[in-house]
Amino acid sequence: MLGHKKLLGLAERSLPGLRKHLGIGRIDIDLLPGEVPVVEVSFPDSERQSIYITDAGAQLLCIAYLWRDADVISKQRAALMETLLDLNPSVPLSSFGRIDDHFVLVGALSPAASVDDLALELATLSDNARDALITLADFLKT
Amino acid sequence: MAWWDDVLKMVKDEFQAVGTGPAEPSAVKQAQALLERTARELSNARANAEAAKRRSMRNQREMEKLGQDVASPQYRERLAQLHRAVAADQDLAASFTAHIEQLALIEARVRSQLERFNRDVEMARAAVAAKQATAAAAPKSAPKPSGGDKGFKHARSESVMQALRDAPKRKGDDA
Repeated sequence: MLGHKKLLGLAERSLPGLRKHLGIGRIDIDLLPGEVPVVEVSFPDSERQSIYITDAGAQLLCIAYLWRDADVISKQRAALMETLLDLNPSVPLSSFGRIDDHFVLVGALSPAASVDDLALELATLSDNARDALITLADFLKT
Repeated sequence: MAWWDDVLKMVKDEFQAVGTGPAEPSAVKQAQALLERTARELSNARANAEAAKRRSMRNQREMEKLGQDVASPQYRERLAQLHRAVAADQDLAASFTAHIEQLALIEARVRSQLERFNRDVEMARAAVAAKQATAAAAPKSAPKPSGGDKGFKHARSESVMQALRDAPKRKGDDA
């Protein structure tokens, strides 16, 4: 498994590629405190939400948090689930999922992934999360 | 293998019990080490059995060659020795052939169980890591959707975009 520093280093090295993909100047990388290495990639000058990278041993997980169970309109819940399943195969490099009561978009990378691979994964995930929040907003409480 | 399913269930239960704790249950590492050692020992036993079989066949060939020249007194004693060795090894070789096949089967099964076990462990690790990351990082409220910047044009097909655009309307209309 990658340690805290190695994961942070990998994320930092992916920054130039990520900036290039997204066309965004400022992107911050922070290591969150805790026993498990979690790196936050945030976009302070943009309305994109943060992405979190963690090491799960055989894979690096990149997670974007979308909304919580409580945010979903009850009557639309089944339709939302179906829509997410329908969309999963066609969303590039990411899948919808749920961790506890958080709906998420997750991308997984090999621990041997290159810096370019990570930059592409993060850029795509950020884009997917933004699109999902916009286009699936009708399922959510305002 | 029933015994293995029991072990797997036990390890899964232990993983469940550990939940979002930082450490992996020690039984997981023990089970992995045990399976790896078993596979390694089976592989060694198979190699030894094959070596014994080869030795036996070599002895047999040597004896046959000497047997063509039994008149030579200097080989007589050697021939007697070889005869004894081959007699002993031939029984061994016959049993080794069956034994090697059995070992190969068991080794393949253990290796397949090891792969299954490792896959289960990796899935459990990913679930635990995702939960831990969520505990550390998840926002308390949903981010507000926004059109925001448009700096990024990826290799996203128009059909995917259309599916995303259509999705809520299509499903929402049904509800």
